[in-house]
Parts: sequence; C-alpha cells; structure tokens
Amino acid sequence: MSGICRARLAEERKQWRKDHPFGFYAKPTKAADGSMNLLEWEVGIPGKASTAWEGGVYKLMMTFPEDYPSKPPKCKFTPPLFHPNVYPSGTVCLSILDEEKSWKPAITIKQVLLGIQELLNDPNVNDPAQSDAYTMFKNDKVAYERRVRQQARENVPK
Amino acid sequence: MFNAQHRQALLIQQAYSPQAHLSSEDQRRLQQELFDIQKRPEAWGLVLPFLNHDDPNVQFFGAHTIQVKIARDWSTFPEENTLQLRDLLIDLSGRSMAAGRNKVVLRKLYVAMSSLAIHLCPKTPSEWPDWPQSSIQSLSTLGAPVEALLDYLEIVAEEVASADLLQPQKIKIHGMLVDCVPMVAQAVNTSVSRPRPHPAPGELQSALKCFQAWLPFMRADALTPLIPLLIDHLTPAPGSSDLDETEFTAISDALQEIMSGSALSNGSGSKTLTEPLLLWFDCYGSSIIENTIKEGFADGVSHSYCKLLVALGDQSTQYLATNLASSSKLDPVLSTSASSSLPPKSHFVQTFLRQLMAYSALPGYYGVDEEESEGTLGFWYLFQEALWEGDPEYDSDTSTPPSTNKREGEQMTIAKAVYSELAKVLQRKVTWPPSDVLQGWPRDQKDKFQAYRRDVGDTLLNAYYILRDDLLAFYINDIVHRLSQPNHNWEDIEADLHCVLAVQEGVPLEENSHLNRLFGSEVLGALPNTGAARVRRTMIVLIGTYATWFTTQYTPPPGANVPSLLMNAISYVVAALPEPALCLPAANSLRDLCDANRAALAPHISAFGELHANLTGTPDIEKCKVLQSIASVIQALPPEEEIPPVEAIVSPVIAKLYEALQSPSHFSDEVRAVAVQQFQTIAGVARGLTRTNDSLLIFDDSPDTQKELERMKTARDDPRVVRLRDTILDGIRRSIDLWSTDASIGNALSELYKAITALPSDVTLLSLNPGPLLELLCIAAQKQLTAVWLSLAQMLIIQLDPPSLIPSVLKSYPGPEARQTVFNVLSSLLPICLGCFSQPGAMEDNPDIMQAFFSYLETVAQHFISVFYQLPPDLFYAVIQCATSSLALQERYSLVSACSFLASLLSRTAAAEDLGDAKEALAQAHGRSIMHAILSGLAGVAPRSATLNLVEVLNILVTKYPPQSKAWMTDILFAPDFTSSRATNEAKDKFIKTIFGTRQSKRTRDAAQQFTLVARGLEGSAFGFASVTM
Repeated sequence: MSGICRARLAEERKQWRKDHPFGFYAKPTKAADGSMNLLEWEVGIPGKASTAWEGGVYKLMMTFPEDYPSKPPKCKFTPPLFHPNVYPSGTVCLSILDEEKSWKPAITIKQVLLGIQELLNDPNVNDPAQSDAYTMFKNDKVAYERRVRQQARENVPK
Repeated sequence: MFNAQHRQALLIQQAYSPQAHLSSEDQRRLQQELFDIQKRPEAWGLVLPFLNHDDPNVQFFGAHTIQVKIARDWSTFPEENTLQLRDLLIDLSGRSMAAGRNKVVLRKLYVAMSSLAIHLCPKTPSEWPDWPQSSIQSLSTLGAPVEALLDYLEIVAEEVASADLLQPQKIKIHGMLVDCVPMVAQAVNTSVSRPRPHPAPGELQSALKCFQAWLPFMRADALTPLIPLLIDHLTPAPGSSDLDETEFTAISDALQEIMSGSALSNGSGSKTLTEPLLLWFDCYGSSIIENTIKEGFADGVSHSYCKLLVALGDQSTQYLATNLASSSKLDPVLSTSASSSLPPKSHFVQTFLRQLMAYSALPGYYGVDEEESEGTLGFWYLFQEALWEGDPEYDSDTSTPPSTNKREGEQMTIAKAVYSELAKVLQRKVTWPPSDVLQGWPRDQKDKFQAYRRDVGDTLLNAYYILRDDLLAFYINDIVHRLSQPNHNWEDIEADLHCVLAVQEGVPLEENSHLNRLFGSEVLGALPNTGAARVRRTMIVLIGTYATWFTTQYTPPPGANVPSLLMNAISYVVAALPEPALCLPAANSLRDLCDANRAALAPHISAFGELHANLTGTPDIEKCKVLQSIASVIQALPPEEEIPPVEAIVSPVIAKLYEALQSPSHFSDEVRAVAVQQFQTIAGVARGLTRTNDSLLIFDDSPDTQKELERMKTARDDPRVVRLRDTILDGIRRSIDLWSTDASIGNALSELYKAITALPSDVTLLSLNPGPLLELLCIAAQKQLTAVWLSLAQMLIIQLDPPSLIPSVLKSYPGPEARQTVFNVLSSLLPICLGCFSQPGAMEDNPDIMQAFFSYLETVAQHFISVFYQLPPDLFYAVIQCATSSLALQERYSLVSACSFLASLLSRTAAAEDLGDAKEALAQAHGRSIMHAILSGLAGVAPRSATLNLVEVLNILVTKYPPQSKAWMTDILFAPDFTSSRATNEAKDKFIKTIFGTRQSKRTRDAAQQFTLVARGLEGSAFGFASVTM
C-alpha cells in the first residue's frame, strides 16, 4: 500500500471517529486473528427518516484501490440491494464514485456515504444499473415503495 | 440618495428586528430585496453610511455588504481603486474596533479585510506587502484593543486556511503567515501570561482561539514553548480551590487542538506534552471524576476534561501502549521543577487508563444520564492496535499481529486486566433500562441508545482480540451466575448475550467450550420460551449469527440419547415463529442455521415435516423463509429421497397459487398479492434446494460427480416431480396471461426465474428448462416490453450454452434444439423491441430497455452468432441500424452496450468458421455505416466518456477489415457532409495514417483519442490532457 493511501485512510478513520453522521458506521475489516485491512471497510448506511428506506441499516463494503485517493473506492452492498442504481452484484453506480465522472481525491468517506444515503431515496434515472428495481421504479412507484419497505424490514439492525 | 439609504436602513431593521413578527413569506421577500440591493454596484456606497448608523443591525449589513462585494463582485471592481479600498477598509475597521462595535459587525470586517488581502497580497508586486503585520500596526495605531486584534488574527488564519487558492498563490500567502508566527506567538504568550485571575477574561479567550487558528502554520518549535504555560493554566488560580469552567474549557480546547491539529498531532512531543499532561491528570483528574460521580452528571469542567483525556489518548496512543508496564521514570519538561522522585511511567499510564475507563463506565444510561462514555470508545480500539503495533514482530504494512508468546508478559497481563474491566463495564452500559423507564424514552433516545450499543459492540471486538476465550468465559459465567439468582433480570442477561453477539466475527470456527455452555442446558436451556421478548430476540439473532459454528459440533442422529446443541438451537428458534414480534428474526436465524448445517440436519427431516405441519400461525412472508430452510435440509438428502418432502412443501403453495389464478376476483390487489407471495415462496424453496458450494462442479468429471448428476437426472424424471415442474411452469404461464404488466408480479417472476433455473451442473428437482421459460418471456414482452424480460432472456441464453470443459453427461450443448430456441426467441423479440424504439423519443426515454436489449443481443452474439444470419435480411438490417443510431445517444449506458454488441457481432462473425461468406457480407452491407457512426461519435456526436467504447469497435473493424476500413475512413472523414468539427484535413489525414501505419491496438487507441481532442477543440488544454490519460 502506498504511503499516501495508507496515510489518507488512517486520517479518514480518525476523522470518522471524531465526527460521523448519526446511525452510520464505518470501520476497516479485520481478519480472524484481529489484523486490520485498511483497504477494505465495512460500513452501514441508515435509510433516511420519513422515506420507505427508514428503519433499515444497509451494509456495504468499501474497497480502496492501491492508488486511492487518485482513484475512488468501490462500494458494494452486501447482500446486493434492490435499487435502480445498484448493479446486480451490489456495486453502487454513483457519479462521485466514478473516476471518469465526478470523483475527486478530496471527497471524504463521510461524503461518499452521505451521497449514497441520498441516492437511496432519490435514484438517478440516467443510470439503470439493475433492471428489476429500475423497471418497478419506472412503472409503479407504489409497488416499488412497498418492495423497498419490505427490504428495510429485512435490514433492521440486530 | 439619502432617501434611498434611509429606506434601505428601514428595510434592514424590519428584516432583522425580532419584534417585527414577519411571516416567513415576508421574511423571504425582504431578504431577497436586500440581496438584490447588495448585488448593485451602488451598494459600495452603502458601506460607509451604514457602518456609521446607530443601529447595530444596519452596521452589520454595512459590514456584510463590503465583505460580500469583495468576495462576489471582485471582478467588476476598478483595479485603479484597490489601494484606496484597502486603506479605507483598514481605517473603517480600526475605528470600529476602537469604538467597541458589536463583535458580529467586527468579524464581518475582519473577513472582508482578509478576503481583500488574499486578492492583493499575491500580486507582483504585492499590493499588500507584509499584510498581517502591517495591518496589525495600522489597526493598533487607530486604537484597536488587544482583544479585537487577536480576534482579527484568528480570522486571518481561518480565512487563509479555507481559501481556495492556486498553488503558487497558496505558497506565497502561507509563507507570509508562517513569517508572522513569532508575532502571533508573542501576542498569545503576553495575553495568556497576565496575572491570574486574568484581568480581561475576553482577551484570554480571544488569545486562545487565535492560537488554535494559527496552529496549522506553527512549527513544533514555535508552539512548544507555549505548552507549559497552557498546562499551568489548567490548574486553579492561586488562592482558588475550584477550577474556573470558562477558563478551564478554553485552555483544554487549545490543548486538544494541539493534539489533533498541529505539528505535534502525530504523537511527537512526549516530554513537553504527553508527560506533563499525564502528571497533571495524576494530580487533579481524580477529584474531577469523583466529583462527577458524586454529582451524578458531568459538568462543564468534567465534560471538557473527558475530551482532554480522549485527545491525549488519540495523540499518544503509542506512548501509552509502550509504557503500560514501563518502570522508567517520567521526565517531563515543566515550567516549574517537579519532584525528583516521580513514580514510573507505568503508574501514570495506568492512572490515565483508569480515568478514561471511569468515563467509559459513568453511571446511568448513555444519552439520558451521561453523554461522555461514547466519546471514549474509539480509544480502546486504537489502544489495542497500538499494543500490537509496538511489538517488534508486528508488521504494520500487513498488520500481522505478533505471535502469542510475544504478547504474554507483564504488558499483556496489564492489558488483559484493562480489557477485562472494560468488558465488564460495557456489559452494564449496554443494558436496556427496565420497561417502566424505557416507556418514558422518546424514540430519538431509543435510536441513540441502539446506535450506542452497536458502537460498544465494535469496541468489544477489540477487547476480544486481547482476551479471546477469557472474554467469552466472562460473559457466559456472568449469565450462569445471574440465572442462579432469584428474581434475575432478563435485561442483564440480554446485555451479556449482546456482547457475545458483537464479537462473533472474531471467534474462530472451532470447538469452544464456552459456546458449548452457551448453547447447552446451562444458558440456552434456561432461557424463557415465552414472554421476555428482548432476551429471546437477542438469543435468536445470536444463534443465527453463530450458525456456522454449529458445523464444528457432532450432531447425533434422531433417537440417539445424546443432547444436540444444533437441534436445541433449532427448537428454540422454531418456538418463536408463531410470535409476531419474534417471527422475523426467528425465520432468518432458522434459514441461516439450516443453510449452514444441511448435512447434519438431513437425518432429522421428519422433524422438519412436523415443523411444516405446524406453520399455520406463521405469516406468509416468514413462511417463505421457513420453507427455504426446510428445502436446504432436503437438499442434503439423496436426490430420490428429496421427492416426497419437496412434494409435501411445494404442493400447498402451488395450490394456493392456483386458487389465486382461478379466483373470480383475480384483478384485485389482494389476490395478486397472494400470487406474488406464492411465487416468492417457490423461489425460496428453489434457492434452498440449490447446493451452496461446488459451483465449479461443472469442471469436475470425477465418477462420483457424474454419478451424482445421473442420480439427480433420474429423480427429475420421476412423474411426481415432472408434474410439480409442469404445474409451476403452467402457473407462470397463466400469471403472465393475467398479470404480466403488474410491477409486483413482474418482480416476483424475475426472482423466481433466477431461483428456479440453473446451469446443468447445479440442477435441482425443481429446476425448469430455459426453453419454455424463454417462450413465456416473449409473451410477457409482447404485452409490455421491460428491461426485466430482456435481462432474464439474456440469463437464459447463457444457460443454453453453459460453460463446460468436458462433454456433459446430460446433453451436449448447444445442440440444434437450443439454437432453434434462441432463433425463435430472437425472431419474436426483435420486432417487439425495434417497434418500441421506433417511437419518437423512446430510445432516449428508456435507457434501461436499450441497455438490456443490447446486452441481450451481445450475449446471443457471444453464444449463438449464427442465428443472426438466419434472420430475414431486413430484420438484421434494422438491428444494425438501431445499434448505429444508438452510438449517437447522449445516454452513456445505451451507447456503451450498443458498442459492446457491435464489437461482439463483428469479432464473433469474423471468428466463426461455419458462417461461409458472412464475414464479407457483413462488411459489405454494414461496415461503412458502422464506421460512420463510430467516426461521428468520436468527432463530437457521442459524449467523450464513451470514447474508449467507440475505439474498441473501431479497433475490431481495423484489424478484421483493414483495406475496407481504410477506404471507409478516408471516404467518411473527407466527405463534405461529415459531422462538423474542429479537425482539419491534416488532422484527419494524420489520424488515418497513424492507424494504418502499424495497426496496433494501442496506436489506434491513442490516435482516436487524439482525434477526439482535436475534433472537439480540446487539444493542448489541461482538461483535455487530464481526461485522456486514463
């Protein structure tokens, strides 16, 4: 891991500890022996209040490339999420996570996670990443919301 | 003019007066009017009269206006007047400071001066040389008091730190501030050093704020001399026994900032910062904490003290870990000499840990009785990592922990004692209050406590890495002890269980005597089966979380007179299924248990039969998971033995589905919802029946595997199973007839399709053949074309041509039958899709369908290229036509997938040996139009982000059809009607020559990217360069 990448991730972790939005969590993963992997983080994104996503905390893995922060992290919901802009694999499609679109090295983990939380209830119609959620969102909002609420119920924190 | 000013002053008074009682609409209107006034050039003229107005609101607006004009309208300000403005602003500010104007007004003026300076300083020659010093000089001469000057300096540093500057300017201005550091340090020192009690407390506050703002510009040698002074001020003033809250908090804030945002924040300065603070904590900290516990809450001093402890913990983690057991003496740099017989470092470190622990363990509930404990949690994981980091065996790059031997010894003994204590106090902190107290908690407080419990869980995981089995032993002994007490409280036991749950990811998958006790008669056997919902819920979730651990256990067959932990756990979970409050976690845990322990549970299949028979009270949505659980156990049986139980669990579901299909009110939402639920249940069963591992079995030609597959094939041919599959397929057909345009049905069918189809190596009893399902998709698409149907079609095409290294025993793929199916489906989907896209705007409005369509076509091209050449020529022509016009779409997804399709079509056609002259015919009929679409796209029609995708297709054309491509390119690029662009004839010529000079992919790509930049007029621009070198 490059010095820049390591220092930045250590700093991100410190900043997160000092200040993070309510209901979110973010931590580097650990192997069974307790050793830490700074390049992979487990995070939780709560659905916003007063939306169909409310009540759920959605688990996501952030994988940082060796050349982070020049390149953005990959964000993948595990298990994959029912959402128009989430690929069937769970990978999130969002302009700030796309190095050819709006990624900037200055974007913090907190901003990424808030951006994804925002995306949950405000999908982008230009990015059809999965056909199931996209089609339902396009054709029947009521049924879509019902399905999203069902998903929120399955993701109530332990 | 005067009248206008007067009117505007009135407006401001109206807008800012709290007595005005304006409606929000009026407030907005007034704000807008004021905003419009500020935008006009005449607004500059308002500054002076407004600042001289009697009303502070009007003065504020005057100061705000000059700040806004400098920040926003600077480009319109006449350059020849800048020096005048600078002098005027200094003069105005100095006078306002001397007159003791309201701080809010003054701060606006400081921001205005700083913004102006940031514009003027970096000019060559500088229009404000020596800015901070010279302005301080001038303001001082005008009579500005020290406190105001310190406030101004604070703003100077803040504005420079947050200014968005280009690198050269940044270096210049930052350098300028660094040069001012001695002046600022001197000013701060003078203000802080005044005799105590401070004669001007406001000045002390300003000095400390100013100091914090300047920390990013101070080198360690500049700030170090100030530290002893600050630490001295933590101590009560001579003659006073109490700590002054305001002063203590301000000093503590400054020290915290040194530890988190200065040259020392990396942990350096142990002699000047860490050790003197540890000494201070040792002398004074205990009384603060005692007082907090006595009073029952943390006052201002205690709150700030806790933050100071945490800050030191963050900054000096490594020091604390290294010296946990150190016998060497503390040797702090102090302003006054310390006693020569100080105790060893370990004493101070352990005092620190005890004090921080006291905050982690504050009495009462987090969020209600105290707010401090949460802030301390982060330290404990840093400390655990630092304990390993300090070990010479620890490799910080791979983060490999040191060996166990190394971690023993005195240091680890103390660390274990610390984390044992932590484990104990955190158990208490996560305990929910009794229900009468909890009832009084508002929802926000409950949420807050829930989040706190989660964070504590993370901390406990770190404690686990230090304590390992001792931690489990502690909690399990605690539960057993509590259970032995009369009138035990279930919330206490729930808290213990929550802690065991939190550390699961660290617990290795191996025999563990503590978990044996947990899931045995001592704990699980003693938990209630009714009431006490919370403790049961946590136990149920705990069982599900540890589901894989049960695979380490021997599970005796039914009838054996030996207790089985797994079967006990299953019984406990199943007992909760009928209860609405526990049904969801119970169903989830059951699913995880059954999934992970299939083989061990298979002999108990009859018990699952009983479970199935007793499911009447379980809601359908959870019943789906229960059936999936049972199905996963069934999967572990030999295929022929799977038949009766599968039939038993699936038949009632199918019956219910048919009830809905045949219901006279099948258009009602309720009936449709019933059908959706049954499809979800069948999908759940299909998932349960699917093997969890061995997904690479397809590459396994061992006799055992082949025998296994053969057995499954025989079982599938059993008439009972054939009938089940036929009924399911017919159910799908009928529901497509009735409801395929319903979004929920569409979604349920999509899930079912994915669950109930499989590659030949993974087939289950229920797996349906792709052919008939594909035909049904065509019917659904005919009724309403959606991306869902096309995506499913794509998935099934792959199943018709599965990956295989060996000839499968089941069937040789893809046979003519599969090819025919693909051809039929393609022939019927194409007219539907092309018809849909021919509507005006349809391609732009349906990026999902476009993308799914081309992805489907790409898959057909990859697996069954020949079917394209069986299509009627006009239909094939229309496909290419659609693809080439998609290359002009601004919507990236459709464009990218169209490119992928064309690339596959071209390369597969060229590679196929059995297609006769298709390769040449394709080029002849469509080569030029594809080339035209690519070149137009590169020249500006397509978005630049798609360049690489276009280049991929170009590359294939150039390599597969070199002479034709060269002719097409020349023809197209030089045609008078070619897309208008900035590319000259020379540029076009160069583009062609570069490509055909070598015909290497990389050259083609570089040349195409260069052409894209030239054509769009971006050549040589930093933007163009930065965005092409990816």
